[in-house]
Amino acid sequence: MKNQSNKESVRGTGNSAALCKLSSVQKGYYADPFIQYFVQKKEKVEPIMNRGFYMRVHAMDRLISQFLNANSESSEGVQIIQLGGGKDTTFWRLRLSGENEVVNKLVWYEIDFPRTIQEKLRIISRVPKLQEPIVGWPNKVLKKTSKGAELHSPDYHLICGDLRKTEDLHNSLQEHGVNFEIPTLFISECVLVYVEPNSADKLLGYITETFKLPFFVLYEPTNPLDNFGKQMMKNLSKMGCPLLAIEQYNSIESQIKRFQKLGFNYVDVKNMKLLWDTLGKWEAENVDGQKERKRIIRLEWFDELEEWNMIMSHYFVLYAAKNDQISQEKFIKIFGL
Amino acid sequence: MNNTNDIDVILEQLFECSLPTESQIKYICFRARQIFIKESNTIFVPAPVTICGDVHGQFWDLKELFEIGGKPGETSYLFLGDFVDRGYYSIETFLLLLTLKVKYPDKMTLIRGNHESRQITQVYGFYDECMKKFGNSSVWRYCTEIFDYLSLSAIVENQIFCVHGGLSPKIDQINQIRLIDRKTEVPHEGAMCDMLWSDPDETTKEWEINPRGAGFNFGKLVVEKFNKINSLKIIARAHQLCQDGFQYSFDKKLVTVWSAPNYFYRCANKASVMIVNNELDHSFKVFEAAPPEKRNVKHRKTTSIYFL
Repeated sequence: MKNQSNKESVRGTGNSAALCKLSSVQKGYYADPFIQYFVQKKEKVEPIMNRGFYMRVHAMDRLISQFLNANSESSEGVQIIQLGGGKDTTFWRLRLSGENEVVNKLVWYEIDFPRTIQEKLRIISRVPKLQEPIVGWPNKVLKKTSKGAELHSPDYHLICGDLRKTEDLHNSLQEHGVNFEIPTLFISECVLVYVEPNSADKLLGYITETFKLPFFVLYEPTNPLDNFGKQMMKNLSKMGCPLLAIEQYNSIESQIKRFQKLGFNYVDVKNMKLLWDTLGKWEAENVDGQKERKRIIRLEWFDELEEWNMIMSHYFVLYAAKNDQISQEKFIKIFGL
Repeated sequence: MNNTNDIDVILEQLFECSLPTESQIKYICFRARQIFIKESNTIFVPAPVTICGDVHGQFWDLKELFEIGGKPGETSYLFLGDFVDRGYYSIETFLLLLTLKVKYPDKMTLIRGNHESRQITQVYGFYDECMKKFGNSSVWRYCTEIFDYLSLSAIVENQIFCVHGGLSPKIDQINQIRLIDRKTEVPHEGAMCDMLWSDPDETTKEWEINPRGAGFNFGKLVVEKFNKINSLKIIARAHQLCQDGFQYSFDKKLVTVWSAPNYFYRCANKASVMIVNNELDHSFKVFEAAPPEKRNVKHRKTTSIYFL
């Protein structure tokens, strides 16, 4: 039954991610006071998952932060559109951190399967802490649509959608006030890889054609060709969530070409293993990379070094932009890792 | 499984991957302890012998190993530790090996790996498996107590030194190992810890910190000196995953043997056993994971093994 994609299994990947993130948080890798509300049943998670999800969240957070910093002068604000966000909590974490003033000018959109959106809304409706930053909760923001309940507040939108249907997507975004002219960051954190490549490419092309200043952050697995990759393909197929796009885009190089072809003139990529290896060598503000790496290593026993290298080499983070106003060098400087 | 203490019956049922009862496990541990307590910190093992690396609870792959290595009881086996954690059948795997030790004490040698530890088994799955299959921690306690009795090393005909991890800066001569009081939880540092945690490293000159957080990385000079002082032909150890099932280091002065194929159902690696003949020559038999039709899968972890 090769490549039988089961929608429920694909949706279920969001639950797996939430569980691993909660485990990582509880072990002290990073802070997220909100993820606990999104995990129903706590299960044991191995150290390699704790550390791996820490690196994933760290990379995503850094890129989001850099997007916000790079566009802080945008007078009309900025937008973040999270594709298939699942149980993600970044909307709340950004508001809590208070680090970036531009967060006050940020409008956050999430598009996901209707069932996932309903689940998220159910959880929000039970947890006052999650409701706090949502202006107008609940009466002014909960809307019934033909696809299910949605949330539409001035700066937070939860939209029922299907990433394979770009026209419907466009209509939804337009209906709910998306500004196609201002800097907009699209996030796909292990999402597009589950979508047929043609549909995914159509979405990417739509983004560069329709948005004036689109940015993109992609986190995904790669390299299905070596033994580890082949085993990963087999295991995930068996789980009902095959990596549909990975055979067509089976390397980091092919992903770069893909984004360039679809209209992003700046594309850069970092392999997750390299990100970990260079963790001691950041120059990010307020972060002592060496200290951080030592802190992480001390958190728990870690007897999976060979597997760690294997699995991390099979994941990457890509960041891209379509922007005629800055040079490639400047793009990498302000937006790169 | 009925509750008999007949070793042959228990063995037959273990070969079917049938879970022993709590009282049977207690009994096997009791019998095994009586044997282990007489073994020294470096067990002398005669050739011929088949040396095996980590198996990590991969029961069906252990059965593959016995098929290619030879019937236990007829073939002499030396397992280098790490019987538990990661795989779904740590209890069945460890108890099978332990019962084989009770049945064939001179044909089955078991030494301790770094996973034969109370601390590590609480992180990497054995404790959780005991709780899941028995509803309480008694089996985990019986097993972790027996871990304390496992020897630390073995030597085949005075020429092949066998240990789970590797060398220690505190041990130059093998007879120094005798002085260690091994009947304890694996310490965080010291000779016993080093023997179970250290790794060879071709880029290290002598000794360096081990990124695992315990033990050391040791280099060529250390191995050459150790082999010379102790008149060894080669060091055989496990502890590190090998894609091809085995891996030589330092111009074949050391070899790593790995016996868990497709480790943790994810790494797609081969496994091997090291066959040492009467003349003390050795060769490797490489094998792959047991195919699905040979695996009677009853338990499956639900948490993911990838970043989904």
